[in-house]
Amino acid sequence: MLVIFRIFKQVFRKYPKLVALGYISVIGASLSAMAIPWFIGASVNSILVSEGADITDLYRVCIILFLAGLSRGLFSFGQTYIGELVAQKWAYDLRNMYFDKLQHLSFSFHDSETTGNLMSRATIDVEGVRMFVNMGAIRAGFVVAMIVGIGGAMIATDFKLAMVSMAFLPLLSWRAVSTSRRLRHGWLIIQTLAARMNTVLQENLNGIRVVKSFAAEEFEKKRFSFAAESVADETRKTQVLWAGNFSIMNCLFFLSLAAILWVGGRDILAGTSFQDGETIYNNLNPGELTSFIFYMGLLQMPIRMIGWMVNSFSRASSCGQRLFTIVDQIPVINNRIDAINLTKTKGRIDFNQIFFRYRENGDWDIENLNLTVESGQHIGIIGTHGSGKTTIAHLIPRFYDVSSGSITIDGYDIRDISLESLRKSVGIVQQDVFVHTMSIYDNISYGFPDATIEKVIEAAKISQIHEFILTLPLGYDTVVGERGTGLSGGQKQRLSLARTILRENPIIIFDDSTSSVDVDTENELIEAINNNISGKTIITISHRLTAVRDADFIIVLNNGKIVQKGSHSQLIESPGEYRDLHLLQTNSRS
Amino acid sequence: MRVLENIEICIYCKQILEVKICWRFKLTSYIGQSELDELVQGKIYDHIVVRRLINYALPYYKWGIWAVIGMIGHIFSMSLQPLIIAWAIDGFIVPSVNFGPNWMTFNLVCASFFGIIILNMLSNYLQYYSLARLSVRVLADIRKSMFDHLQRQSTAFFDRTIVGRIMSRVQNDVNQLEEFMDIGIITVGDIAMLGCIIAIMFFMNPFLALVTLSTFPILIGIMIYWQMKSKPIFVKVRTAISSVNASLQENISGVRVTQSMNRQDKNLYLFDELNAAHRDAAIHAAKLSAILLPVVDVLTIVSMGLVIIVGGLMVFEGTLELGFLVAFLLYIQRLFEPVRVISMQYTVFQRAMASGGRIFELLDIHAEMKNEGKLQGLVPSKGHIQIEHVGFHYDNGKTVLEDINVDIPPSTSIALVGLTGAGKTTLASLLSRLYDPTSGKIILDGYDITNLERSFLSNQISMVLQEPFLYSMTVRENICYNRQEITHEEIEKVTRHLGAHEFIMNLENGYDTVLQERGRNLSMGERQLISFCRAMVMNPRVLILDEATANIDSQSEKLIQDAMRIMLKNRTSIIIAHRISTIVNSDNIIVLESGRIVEMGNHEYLFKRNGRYRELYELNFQDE
Repeated sequence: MLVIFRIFKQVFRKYPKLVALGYISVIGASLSAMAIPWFIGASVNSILVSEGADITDLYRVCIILFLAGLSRGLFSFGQTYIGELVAQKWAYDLRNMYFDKLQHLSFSFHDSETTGNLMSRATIDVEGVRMFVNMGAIRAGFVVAMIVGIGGAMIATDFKLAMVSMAFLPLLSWRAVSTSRRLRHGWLIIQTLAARMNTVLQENLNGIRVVKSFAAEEFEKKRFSFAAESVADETRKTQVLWAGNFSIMNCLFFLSLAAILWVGGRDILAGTSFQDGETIYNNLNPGELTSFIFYMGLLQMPIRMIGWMVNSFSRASSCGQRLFTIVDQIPVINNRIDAINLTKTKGRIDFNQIFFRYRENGDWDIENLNLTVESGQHIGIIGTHGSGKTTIAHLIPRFYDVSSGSITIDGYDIRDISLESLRKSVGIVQQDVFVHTMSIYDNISYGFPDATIEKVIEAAKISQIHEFILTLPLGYDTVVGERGTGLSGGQKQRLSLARTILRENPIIIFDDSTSSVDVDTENELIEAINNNISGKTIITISHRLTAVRDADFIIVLNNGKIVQKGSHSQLIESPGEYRDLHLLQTNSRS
Repeated sequence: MRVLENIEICIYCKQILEVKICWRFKLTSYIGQSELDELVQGKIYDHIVVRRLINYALPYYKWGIWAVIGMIGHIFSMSLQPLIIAWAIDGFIVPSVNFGPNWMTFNLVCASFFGIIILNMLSNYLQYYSLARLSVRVLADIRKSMFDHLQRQSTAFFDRTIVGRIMSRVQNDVNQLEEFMDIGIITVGDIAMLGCIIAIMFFMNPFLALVTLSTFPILIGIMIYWQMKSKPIFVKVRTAISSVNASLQENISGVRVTQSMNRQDKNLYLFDELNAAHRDAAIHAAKLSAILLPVVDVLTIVSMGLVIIVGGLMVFEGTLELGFLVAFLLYIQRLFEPVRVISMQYTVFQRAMASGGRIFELLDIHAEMKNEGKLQGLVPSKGHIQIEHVGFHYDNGKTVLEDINVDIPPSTSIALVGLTGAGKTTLASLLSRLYDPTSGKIILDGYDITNLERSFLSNQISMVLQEPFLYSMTVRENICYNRQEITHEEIEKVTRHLGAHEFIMNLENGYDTVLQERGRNLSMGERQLISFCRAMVMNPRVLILDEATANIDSQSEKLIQDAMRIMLKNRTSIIIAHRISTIVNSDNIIVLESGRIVEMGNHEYLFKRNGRYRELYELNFQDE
């Protein structure tokens, strides 16, 4: 419920005028809608009762009807349009808020959430809240006004008949609420099952070579058929539920009309008497009966909408809850108020007694690490999967904060430096390359959008990808990425290399950034980087020894601890993990 | 005067239907993001598409017949109601003024009204129930036949087709058909009802019928204009939201790059542009949708006014019964509302026809899977492979392999060496019949492999791909894959043998751990090992192996090397080799260049020969 209040509060505060206008339309629409039966009832009486009624009566009725219809039309336009207007504006705000928050939340947050999950919040949850703002917050007023207004009008006209007509209301609204809840549940199940079916399809298509080489077509057909049948089953169940409900609701409604006709008709017939050629209705007159039937017709929609509204309330509160927990998060890693801006970074890095773990109470992922990298030095970090190489790389630009100890750059604790200037000083080529669906030019200048084309080409040349780009039909304007031209793993890595090189950071970290590049190109790359990047502090992380051979010194990590340190030539001389790795890697290749 | 007014019901039933459609649309747009195909719109009625759809419906013709019966009952009950009311007015309300209460007629009217209500409910239920049964079956059948058809395609088909395109046909296009079957068919019923009502009106009083229909052309004109105006806007909303979602998705996936490069502000700026474009398009569309209902309302009331005046005059003159006048008024709204609904469903028809066209286009692709052999070979197979004059070229005529002749004796290993594009992978693929040679033949134990039954062949020859493809199933299911009869003991025997048992037991639920998409929760080396196990539970005589090159750290590499040694023992093996140790240890080495064998022999022989092999060797491995 708090969530609902929060949505109301924000919508009212942000768009007070629109909301007010929306409610005016709501009231106008319900008043003019209710006026129509009243006028019709009155005119029925005047036409029926007065013998030899003249045509002007008819004109009057028509004009009144037309005016009422016009005003109902205008107000209901206002109501629908303004409801949607406010809802869309609010959804827009919410999306922007959500997007920006995601951009600023720390790595640890993104580690724990899947893309699919975050996406479904932006699509399904935003949609849920948007529908609520329209249906629940603004047009709900219409439902309430109609039910209260019509109920009152009916009781005022004829108490007995009012009771007869309203006897059906509780049943109708209960059905509307309960069925719409069950339907929604059914649709959610269908959605999940459909997603599962699509996974089978997708895996089948992507792994078609496995399917073919195992002659597993029949097996796959069975898998898909099972998934498709479960979707069909659940869809059938939901559709049948809907069909049943639809017919019963309709029938109940017609029945209420029949009851009015019957009870009201009896009243009229039994209570009519004639005096001096005048017809006198003692109980109920035909005009009143007519307006009752009209009132029931008008009640139909609001009652059906009750189901929707109740649903949209509960949906909005769960959707809103999920969204707000993200929007309210404060990034773990943040600027200090008095953060300093690092300019002219020299590039000396000190690690002082670093302890770090990803999970609280887990084992240390980095344990008591002490290291000094002088400005302009090139160091290599070697270690097996899970030894903590990448973790060190992620601690320097503060993707994570150390648990204890400190890292300093040029003597400043990185937690005292503003994130913007820190990340301007430290460039990192990450292991998992992400290529955006944009032109190659935009991809390379991603972190430096104002770069000139000359600079971009220079960076591409150093990364050994310029030649390849020129072979593409559109050259640097070729759109790559998920929805563009596909690139091989090696090409992607070189692209991301160029992206970082372009930024000319004083400190550059290469995190296993040439693993998918073949040996020849890797050698060329290393040479090009060595020749073109001078005076920068470089940290190279790799599991291939060839990539770190030329470093000033190399550290070997094992379980988050430094086990060896020295230059390549020193390390291969002394017994230890480095020499073992050296032997293993050269053996497998020679 | 107008005694009954259940027109509103009509309107609101439709609104509930539309609400349902909204839901469905949301599901669709979330499940399938690629909407490029959807933007191509087709004709409103495509004879071929409809005929083929009917073919799918034929097996379930019983439901179809019930649906039609239900529909007729529905039309009947809906168009009869105003007549009963007319009867009520002429039968008891009007006469009562002059002759006193007519209880007999009153009871009769009430009884028939009640009867009509029951008929209406039953026919409604019958109609929707049968339609649901029918459409669910038809859609499931279409999905399955698409999938089956895809399974019959050759590997070459998948080489030249983008997976996303196929996905979008099976998902979005079928969903589009679903939407069509949900409401499109009902719309056909609406049109029939429209015709029915017009006929009744003309039968009752042709002149008043003409008066009633006088505003009809205006309504239709407005509808067509609205349709034209709004279509591009609705398309715009759809494309706009899919760009918003695509941008969001990309930014979530790439958030680490964004943060490390301080690009948050620029990204927000770009996202805001897309987001605002969607908002504006959506508001524009909302305005257009909101305007339609009031227009129909006002036009309906204008028509009613006309009928009241003209009909009223006729009643005064005595040329028209009062009840007929009321019935006309009731018919008016039954006429106008369906027109609005139909006009909104126009695009559903168009999209469905276009989607149907694409679906059948896919189903019509000639299944290229080669002749399925019938023979069973030797059991146990000896594993003797002879490659005789094998050549292969693509459809476009580009030659990949030419006149390959190799004899691989049982239990020997062969390494394929050569530059990228030399034809190594193709040759390996021919052996497991991912493709068939365009000339020459491959012989296993004396049988041409194209004559062998494919399931037999796949039991004898296993292939391990360079990039292991794992499914989002449990580890156990991934290892058994399509041989579910394998017992746990057998699986464990293989995994222990290959050194995979330990890491599997260290996973959260051991063998029952569900792997993430493509096995993302495992390291590359672990994925390799599992795909080894998958090949080995088949206990094949012949093993085709594409050695992995990248992304494996040294420790896993050692595990994999050991596993490979075990696998190759006592088996015939063909390896696309990247590691020098694999090459050196194999019995025979084939050096391929531009689809031809240029050198063949063992390492020592070839090394001494000082030819292409030596060159390749020095290029790749000299500095280690």
